[in-house]
Amino acid sequence: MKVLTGNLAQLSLVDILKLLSSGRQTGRLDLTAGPNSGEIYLQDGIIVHAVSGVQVGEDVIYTLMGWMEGDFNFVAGAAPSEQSVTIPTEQLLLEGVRRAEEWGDIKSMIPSTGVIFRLSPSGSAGAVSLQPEEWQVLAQVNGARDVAEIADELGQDEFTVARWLYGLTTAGLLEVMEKPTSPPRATINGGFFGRLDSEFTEVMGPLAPLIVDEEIEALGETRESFPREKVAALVERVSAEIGDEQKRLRFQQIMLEMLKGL
Amino acid sequence: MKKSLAEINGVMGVRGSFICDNRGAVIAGDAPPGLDAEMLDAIGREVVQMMVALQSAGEPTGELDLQYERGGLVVRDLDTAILIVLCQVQTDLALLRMTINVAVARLKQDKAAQRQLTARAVERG
Repeated sequence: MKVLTGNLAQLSLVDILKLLSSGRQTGRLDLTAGPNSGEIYLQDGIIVHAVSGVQVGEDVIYTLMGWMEGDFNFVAGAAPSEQSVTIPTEQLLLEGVRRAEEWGDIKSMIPSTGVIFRLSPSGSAGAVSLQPEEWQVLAQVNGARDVAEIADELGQDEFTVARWLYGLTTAGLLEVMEKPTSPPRATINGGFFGRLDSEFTEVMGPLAPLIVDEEIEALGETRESFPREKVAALVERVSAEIGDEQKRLRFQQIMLEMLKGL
Repeated sequence: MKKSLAEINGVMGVRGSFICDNRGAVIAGDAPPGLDAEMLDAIGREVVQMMVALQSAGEPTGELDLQYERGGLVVRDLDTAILIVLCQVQTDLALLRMTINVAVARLKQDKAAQRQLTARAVERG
């Protein structure tokens, strides 16, 4: 029977455990976050067992406390198959509170696991000494991976990774990337331009690529990031340069076939 | 003729296409969802009147793109007939125009289609 259900973004794991512990509850707290899941068992309000994948014990609880997002529900009455937690529940919760306080500072910089970091172009003002785990995190930062993905790559919990990222950013080695205001545009690859240049050169001669460049510029775009939605407009503009009607039609026919394959 | 129209109808955003004679009467093409044959005739007549007016004013009428709030019409003058394409606002018009170019070129080489159009040829107006 479910007696408590919700999202970790609204109620932290520490608060949930405090609630269940003070109520002397017995049962299993299920936690899920994407493909990951974990279970914490309580007996009369005391945490007695925790499991996540192949991991068991108190370390699992610290890992689960590091989840920034996820769903939970408590199944009352469920009994554990074993007892893997030996640390007193009060001590576990105190560590959780300490992490939560630390989390308050981190959250101002990393409000969600979707935040992406990149190397700071200016770097640190002075000499920097890195711990091995900090170096591992730094090596994962590429301007594309977010906090959740880095944690996944390193097999670490999100809180720990966020804490390292926070430290590296405060030291001036990293910076938070601005969130894109709109979804990235679908662009076409260089293969398309290779074929366009080739077919257009067949008709117009060696100056054809220059004409293509002019039309790309007229559309306010570049070859490197040309949007898929403007491809037909580009082909139409380019083909308008072909004086011979039959050649123009043939060119458009070839390009239309190519556009179908994009 | 059907093949050419089907090719045009395959462009994303196209609601339907038809060919009418120079008085606006439908020769080939099916009414798209939400429109019946009478409405196609009415569209055809409106387009013909517009083309006559433009021709009187000395304006070219070979290719017309008419954009309205809820959709668009792309019109091609086939001399003995008129091709009308109905499309949605967000249609890639460049892609549609090129597709029409190729389809019309194929239509002009289709002797059976040309015979059909010639048989229905009337003076515009």
